[in-house]
Amino acid sequence: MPEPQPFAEALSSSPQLFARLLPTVYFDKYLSLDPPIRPSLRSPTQFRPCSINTSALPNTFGSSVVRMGECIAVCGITGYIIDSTEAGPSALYTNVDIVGRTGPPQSELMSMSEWMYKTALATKLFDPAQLRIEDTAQTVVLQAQIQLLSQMYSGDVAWAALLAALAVTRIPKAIPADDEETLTADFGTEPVVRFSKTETTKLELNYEKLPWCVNFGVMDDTGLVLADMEGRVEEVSVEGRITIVTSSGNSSIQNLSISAGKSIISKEHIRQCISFAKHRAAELDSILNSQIYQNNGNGW
Amino acid sequence: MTVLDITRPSPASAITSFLYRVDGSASWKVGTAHIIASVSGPIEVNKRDELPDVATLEIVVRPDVGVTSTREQFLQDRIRRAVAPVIALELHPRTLIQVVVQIVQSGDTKILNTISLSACINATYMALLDAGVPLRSTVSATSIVYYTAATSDASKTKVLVDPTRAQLEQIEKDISSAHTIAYELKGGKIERLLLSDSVGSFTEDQVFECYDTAANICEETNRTMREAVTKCVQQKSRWREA
Repeated sequence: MPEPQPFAEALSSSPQLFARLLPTVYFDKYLSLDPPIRPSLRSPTQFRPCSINTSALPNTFGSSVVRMGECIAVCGITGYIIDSTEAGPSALYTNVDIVGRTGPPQSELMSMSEWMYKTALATKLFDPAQLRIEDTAQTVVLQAQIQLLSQMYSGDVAWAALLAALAVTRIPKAIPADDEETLTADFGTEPVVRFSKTETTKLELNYEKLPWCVNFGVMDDTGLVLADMEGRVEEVSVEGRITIVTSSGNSSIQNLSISAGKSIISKEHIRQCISFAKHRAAELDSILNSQIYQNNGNGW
Repeated sequence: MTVLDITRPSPASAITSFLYRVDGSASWKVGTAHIIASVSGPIEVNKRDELPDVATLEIVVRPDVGVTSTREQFLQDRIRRAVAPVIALELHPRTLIQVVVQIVQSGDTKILNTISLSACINATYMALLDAGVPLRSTVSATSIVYYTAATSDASKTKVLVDPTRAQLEQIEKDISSAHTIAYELKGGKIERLLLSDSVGSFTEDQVFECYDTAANICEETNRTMREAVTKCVQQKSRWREA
């Protein structure tokens, strides 16, 4: 008899190869189980586990590291002084980037960067008036640098890092330096304003319950709602997307982005997602608060 | 279903087929926004961008003032999400459908992208139609802005549809939320929601109110598009009467 089973070896392949070649079929196989489950072994309405660490970076006004599933984002907040009494739209400048990027940023990253900046502006996270430096015609402006550490990235992790960092941001007091002077526009002199190394004031946010970002996918054919999309398999198989920025409780919503793809998104879908999003926001609030409590020892 | 009874400050108008070096072109004007879109396709594609089973859709947005920034990337992404589901991309695999959108006047203030997004979606759709790209249905989009106006007794939430830039600048400090909504229509009737982008501070009820109001406005926009196309076809067919 000839050598047995050369065919069988060639036909069997690893699950990873299956996922790469036929992601939609791979995904359907998981969802057709009873009860339906996703390749990440989460149920359709289950969110990714989230961990938040704050104040880990030195030389910043505030910082955070947020991990949701496989996505990690680090946010560092710094500031500088500008010659203006009102900060206006420049009060908070956000920049999102991937660590170790070579070449120009991908369009998805640029789009996310724009979304973050516009959402931060529209959400009015804090009152820029508190950044004004007394007795001068100058104000502090904040810059939030968000670095994404993994190959998989999503806007909600970057946004969470921004919120967590702002929640612990302390603005150093800006004082005129006695020993240095600078020229003014009319050729007079005034003292240079510098950041104090010791005195800081906490940045007061306009929200007690923070407006977190939560994303959902809606399947084309079944209309099934999947919470917290992550990974290439899910991204390729599910086109319908609902992204919500909201805080928990009966308060208003800050951002709602819907992109139907081929799916039919009904008002029921939207209501369901808003309700899930508010629950998730409450969960993230408590994760952040317990982290801050741990850091401070006795609450804030 | 609560529908707000509002009319636009100025109706939308469109012209098509005025650019000669591309397959299709359209100009869309509403309020103070003016967008020109051109479409070439299906045309030859780079090996790098080639897709084996569908056409590659490339959307480029050029700003009215200044250099291309992340804002244009954002607009490109949103236009794609609104328009790609409606194009029969699988009919032309391994080709390219190239859309170039030139913002002549954005109609937006510095902090919003709302007005230009809806105008860009409408202009892109009309240009695709003019180019003869196979399409499954119609797309139309609109912008709705909520603001609080302090009146003598209390502050009241007011709504504007497709506002002009002057109106936006007047209410700039009081804008509470801005919404861009795009619907898919078949036979002049709303079929389903394609894209919705809402920023600011709003309630669940307000957003549903927006969707219902936008549905009416989009049906009207669809009629405007139909009239523009009819006029263009009549113009092109005048050799038949001779």
